Amino acid sequence: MSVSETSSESVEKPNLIRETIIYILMAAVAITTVGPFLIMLSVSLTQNIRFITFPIELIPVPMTLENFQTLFARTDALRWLFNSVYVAVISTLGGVITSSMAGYAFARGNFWGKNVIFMLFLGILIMPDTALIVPQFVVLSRLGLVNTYTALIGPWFASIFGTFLLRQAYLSIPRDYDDAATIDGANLWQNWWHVLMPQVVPTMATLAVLRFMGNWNSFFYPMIVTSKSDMRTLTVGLGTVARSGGDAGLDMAGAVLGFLPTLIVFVLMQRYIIRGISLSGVKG
Amino acid sequence: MKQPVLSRRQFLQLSAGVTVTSALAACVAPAAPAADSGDAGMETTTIDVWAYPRTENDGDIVYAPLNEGFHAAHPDIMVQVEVQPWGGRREKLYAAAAAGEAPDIWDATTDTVPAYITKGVILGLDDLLTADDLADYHAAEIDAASLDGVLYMPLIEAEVNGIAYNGGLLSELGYDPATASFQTWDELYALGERAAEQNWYLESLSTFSWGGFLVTVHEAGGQVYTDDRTDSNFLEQPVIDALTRWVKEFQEGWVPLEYAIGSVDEQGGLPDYWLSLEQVTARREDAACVQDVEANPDLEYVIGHARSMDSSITAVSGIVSGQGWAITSQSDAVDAAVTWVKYMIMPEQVGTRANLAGTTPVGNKSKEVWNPAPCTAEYVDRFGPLLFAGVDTNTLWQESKVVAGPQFQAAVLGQATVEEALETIKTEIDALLLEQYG
Amino acid sequence: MAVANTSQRASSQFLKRLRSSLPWYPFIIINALVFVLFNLVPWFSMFRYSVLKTDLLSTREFVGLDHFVRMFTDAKLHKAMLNTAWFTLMYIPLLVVASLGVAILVNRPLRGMKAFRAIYFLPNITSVAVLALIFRRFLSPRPDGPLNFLIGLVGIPPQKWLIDVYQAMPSIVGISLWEAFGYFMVIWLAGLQAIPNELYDAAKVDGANGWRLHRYVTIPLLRPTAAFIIVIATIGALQVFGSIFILTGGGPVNATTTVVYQIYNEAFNFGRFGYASALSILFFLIILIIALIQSRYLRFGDDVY
Repeated sequence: MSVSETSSESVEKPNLIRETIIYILMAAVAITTVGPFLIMLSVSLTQNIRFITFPIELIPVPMTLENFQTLFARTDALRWLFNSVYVAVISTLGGVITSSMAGYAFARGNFWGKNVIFMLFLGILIMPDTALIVPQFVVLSRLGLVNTYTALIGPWFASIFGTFLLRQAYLSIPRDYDDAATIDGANLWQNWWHVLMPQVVPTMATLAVLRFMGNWNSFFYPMIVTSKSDMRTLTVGLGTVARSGGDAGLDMAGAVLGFLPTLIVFVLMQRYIIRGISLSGVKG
Repeated sequence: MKQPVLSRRQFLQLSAGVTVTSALAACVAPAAPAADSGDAGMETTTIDVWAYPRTENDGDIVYAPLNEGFHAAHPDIMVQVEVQPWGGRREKLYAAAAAGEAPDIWDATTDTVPAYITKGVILGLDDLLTADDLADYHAAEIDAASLDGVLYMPLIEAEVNGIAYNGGLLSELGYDPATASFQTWDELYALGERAAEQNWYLESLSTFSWGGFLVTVHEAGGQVYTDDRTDSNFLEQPVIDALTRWVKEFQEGWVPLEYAIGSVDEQGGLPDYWLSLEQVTARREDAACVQDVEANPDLEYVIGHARSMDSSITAVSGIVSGQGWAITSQSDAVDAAVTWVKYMIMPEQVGTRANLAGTTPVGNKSKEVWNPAPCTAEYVDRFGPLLFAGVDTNTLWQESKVVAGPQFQAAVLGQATVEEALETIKTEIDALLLEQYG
Repeated sequence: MAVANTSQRASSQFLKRLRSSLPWYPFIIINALVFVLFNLVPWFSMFRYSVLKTDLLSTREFVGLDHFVRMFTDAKLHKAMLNTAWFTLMYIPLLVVASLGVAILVNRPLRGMKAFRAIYFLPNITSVAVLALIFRRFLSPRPDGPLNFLIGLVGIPPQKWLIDVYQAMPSIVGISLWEAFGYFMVIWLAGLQAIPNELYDAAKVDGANGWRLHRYVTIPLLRPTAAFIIVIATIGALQVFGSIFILTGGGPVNATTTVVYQIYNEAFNFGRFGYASALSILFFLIILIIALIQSRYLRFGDDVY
């Protein structure tokens, strides 16, 4: 990063030029990440748009909500939206709590087989799952779980990534906390719930956002395990909405619909993710 | 040291609240439509049908009206048409078939079904349908729905591919759109040169379009596979001519370079130079003469003519590429499935379905029920008879696409000569032929 | 006598160990169940398929280790492995530097930083269709394409990006970075906020500021986070698939065909599920070795305190 500088002098002085350059760079990157979203929004508000030319008119004339009306009035979008919310919320809560539990066990526990099990978990994370979907589906089918919420939620009810993330978080809490709690007679559950977990809530919130997002946007797995309209999540359901000639507006309206809840979750959770740390001194 | 912003108790309350609310919501959420329980004494058979979307809600718009008539005639058969997403359809069917969860009836496409037939997933229908059931079909339509003489998926719709021109651009290039015709490759190349002077594209060619390549080979009077599927003709002159034409068009800049690569299954996101009026000619399907003009009213849509390499070769317009009902071998209600398919391929239903779904029906009598836009009807009349089907269109479709695509790329990007590319393809394809057909 | 004593001691030791272990298992039982059901059981099937020539539908023929032997002569696989390695080597260092840099920048209590955090996260939640659209246009090989126009401003001639055999993979790296930096920025932020302010105060008393503050306080204390991110991101990078599937189809001329793309190809385009399973196992072992080396080297498993 260009943050490095010859800072042998210890006098701290605000460097206006450097700040400005940093802001400009950050804004430039921001444009690239906001741009696609704005295009998505703009196209969703355009009537009968089948091809997109660049540069795009960001404010469509005439602006219309027709695409959204079509989605809600003529398709099962409401049901799909409900399914998505239900599946994503349960998956996220389940995944975060089980990760917190397992992360705690791997960070603090001293139990028989700990390293082997941990390695096994790591192993699952690194299994290339492209071709796995077929045997996975066969297992679900044997268990009679095709077209059920259990199938949609199941794999998300535990997270290896989350277990690792939480394990790292628990590891960075000094042992003194545990020792104090143990002296006070707390058992493992109490120590976890009352002493350690409150310290990693921000990490759990981070995990919750990432899990929610991942679950909400997943397409392939829910597409494979559901074949009935009333069990579909939004991303999959939108795949069954077409309009002859391929209307980009309808596609993008679906995309916006799928996008808003994740944005809301992110904005709501943001304050838990990044607590207002007053790193006044860190500003270079 | 650290004060959690969200306390443990709040987190617990929040979690519990959300869980309970969600669980409650799940209970009151609309349940699956209850099955009409016909007459009390009658045994009902349920069949599952997987279809792919044509409208914003095919279940309500297309299949509800069609099944109403069916249900009246066959109250003992309950039909559940489930519209599946188009994306990932091959993977989904694969997983379903491997687990024994395939539907009774599958809305199959002519290009994907042969692979499933050779794997024993699709039921041959020769003994289950009578000549009467199939009386309305053309020979090519039966061909396209069959493999090695056995009918597997009676078609309900077929895209009629043909050639269209942008009349406005033709005028500006000095041609009269009403009379101009480019029926040989030399005439096409002349058009390409003139278009290039104006910075317009001639057409667009995609290296993962196996169908597009087959049409080019047939325009050159050739065939990629031998009739008995034991050998390929990649090193024969017509195939060489076809790839040479592609290479020429890419290297002259007559086709957009963006199309040289792309996803095997999707071409989403590519700029559409045809609709933005920067491309003179295009291979379009039947309904495009209405849809394209709706999308860009400035487009002067001119219906072209089928083409061949030179006038000594019979012109072809495209491949019979259609969708039809395939009954899977995993169905435990074959009789009911056959009853439904028989009903759905009656000319009247085929025509009605085409009207509802906005597609083009197969057969003759069905077209009497069909009410297309005049230009679509003209398009189908002109190009329909010049479509082809047969061994090329139902041999190793997906495999050919995936094997040939990268080598086509090598040729058009100058990484290999036409002959080198075709030799590589032939080696790999011949091994596959041996593996599959002995 | 002595023998009995030893075995008695051993068994009491075992009981003691068991007693101290038992309370921990409930903490991991749900995870374990989910993984066994949804991952391990299907994986056992994969092991079984790997010695069969099978499309899972009609053919099932025992071929022993033929698939593993075939890998040695499978030129497409070798190419795919090189491509995967090339992608990972380019991607990981850039990702770590970019996401950490951005995290440090947006972690400052300055006006607008919260907005930047949210904005940088957007690529993760923008629809795939839009991403394909954007990148196809942005990386257009035409001289008037947006990126070609931009580099033209500084006098660089137009490039072909995704269409060029040599530029395609770096272009995919760029796209992947753009998609992922916001995600990893969030994880870095979770690590950054765990650093007690007192440490910064103490360092400043010692005269450190600016870059040196980061060099001596931030970076050393981020080691667990860094280890986590490097290991996770490497595992992800080795399995890169999505953007390639959508944008290049492995092309041009197999230049972006990665191992996972090749596995997909063998399974779903050629119906060779036995071979695809064997490839999955091979690749699993490769990733495992890389992850183990990384973990050892980065002291991923160590306790920090």
